[in-house]
Amino acid sequence: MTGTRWVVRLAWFPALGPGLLSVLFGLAVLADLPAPEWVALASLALIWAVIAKRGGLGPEVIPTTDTSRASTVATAVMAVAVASAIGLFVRDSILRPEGEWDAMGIWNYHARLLAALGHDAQEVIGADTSGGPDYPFGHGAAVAAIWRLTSSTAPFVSQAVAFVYLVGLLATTWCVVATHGSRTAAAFATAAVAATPAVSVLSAHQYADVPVAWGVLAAAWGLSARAPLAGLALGLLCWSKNDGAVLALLVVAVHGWSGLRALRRPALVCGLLAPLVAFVWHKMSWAPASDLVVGSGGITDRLLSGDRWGPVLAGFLGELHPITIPRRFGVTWMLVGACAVFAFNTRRARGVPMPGVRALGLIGAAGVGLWVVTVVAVHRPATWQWDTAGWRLMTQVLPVCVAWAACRCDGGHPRDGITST
Amino acid sequence: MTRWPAVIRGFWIAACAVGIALTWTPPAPRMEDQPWINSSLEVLRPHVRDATRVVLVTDHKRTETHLFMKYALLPKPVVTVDDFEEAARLVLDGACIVARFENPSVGRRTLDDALGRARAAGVVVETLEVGPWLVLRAKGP
Repeated sequence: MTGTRWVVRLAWFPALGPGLLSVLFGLAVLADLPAPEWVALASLALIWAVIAKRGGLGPEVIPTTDTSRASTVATAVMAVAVASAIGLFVRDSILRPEGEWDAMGIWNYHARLLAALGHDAQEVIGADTSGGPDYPFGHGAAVAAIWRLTSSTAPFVSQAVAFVYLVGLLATTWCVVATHGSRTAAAFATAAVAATPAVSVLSAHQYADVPVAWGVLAAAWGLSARAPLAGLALGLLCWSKNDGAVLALLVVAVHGWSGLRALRRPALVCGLLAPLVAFVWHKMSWAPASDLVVGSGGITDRLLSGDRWGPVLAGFLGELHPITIPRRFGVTWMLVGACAVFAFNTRRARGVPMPGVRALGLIGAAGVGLWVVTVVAVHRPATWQWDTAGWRLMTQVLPVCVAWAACRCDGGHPRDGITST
Repeated sequence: MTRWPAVIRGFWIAACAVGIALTWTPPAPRMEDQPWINSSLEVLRPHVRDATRVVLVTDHKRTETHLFMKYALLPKPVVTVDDFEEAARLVLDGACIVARFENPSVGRRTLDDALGRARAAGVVVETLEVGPWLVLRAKGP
């Protein structure tokens, strides 16, 4: 056991805490069971007991050694960046305890209805077309479960759930990079994600994009490291948001045969099963069809229209500019680009990237491309769609891109970085 | 042993510094703020407690108004309309109207006109001014 074990615990806690609670509560609500919050809590306790008995958090992360000075500097930068992200989260949570627009209009709105009405919430949620009636319950169901258990609707609960995902995302970033490289790389990657304004801002807004970003990274890490909780992360990715389901398919596709083979392991299947059943059940029996699917006619025309590509690409390039919209990405995307150039120029000296690192790069690149094309293809006005959703979609795949960039900046020899415990 | 070239290391540090600096730039000022929701919630809740349905009527351009009210009045089903004729019809069906206008004189007159037919038919529509809000309920013929 090394000193990194607690970081692994933090990385997986979103899955084993609010993630699993959300799925179990969601299943109990979908099944219209009495006292769904207690059903969820009892099931969660049982699952925790099984996981604890089997020691199932997966492989330990042991980063490679590196020069102590570089590592010290990177760790100091990480400490400042993480403190800044947490500070901003606290400040914005005090200013806006209920979260921002989508939190009040969708996630916490659903949580309030689920907490107050249980299965009867279906009628109210389904009737409100502006409230994302087709969205899976996501972390809102975890909030609803805790509100029911505590007989309150205190905003502290939704803030705490959002905070768990923020910390989980930062810890997962550290673990992913440390799995494939050095402490320096892991610290710099964590610092860059924590210092990206969009990450802490969206987290404080209590939006679902940070949970999706955590899910993408955790699933990619878990599949390449054969962690038993990879299946759960993949399933929670679907359960978090409709966008997450698309990214889950992308993660599996990128891991290809090795990922599918990994999913045959019983622990991975068990983890995947519950959120996937909840997701499919919700789609089949609860949610109306998404308006993006219903209005999907004319996709080819839109994809061939310069009038749509123009504003979307302008919006995309605008996100790369650090000053235009201050509280978004800073220069993080420029950093990723610079690292890509650096990796390309030094590829001979640094060798071929490991499959796990290559997968991070593929998921990041394909994710960014996929969201740009999606915004062009949907039937809503292109500029409006990019302004309201584009940057949040980019945030979902930013951490995986940063992790890849840090791994590629890391010199030395390719290695596994994983030992069994 | 891994090595990080000084240039690359410097770029990562600079990127983090820029990010932190931008993170702490103040967010854009907003007209609607959350204490406003809470005060609305406090004053309006007693008036809509017995209503089976709440209709929010507003000429407010900012859709935050709609959203905040929907959230604040939960779990009452809240319908938002900007068609005053439709609002008048709904009030006859027993809904409680909660109205807020950017331009109160015009908004209130238009709503009164729309409710004129109901009043002409003998329906008593109770109107209460609650802070910046108007609460309207049919008392029956």
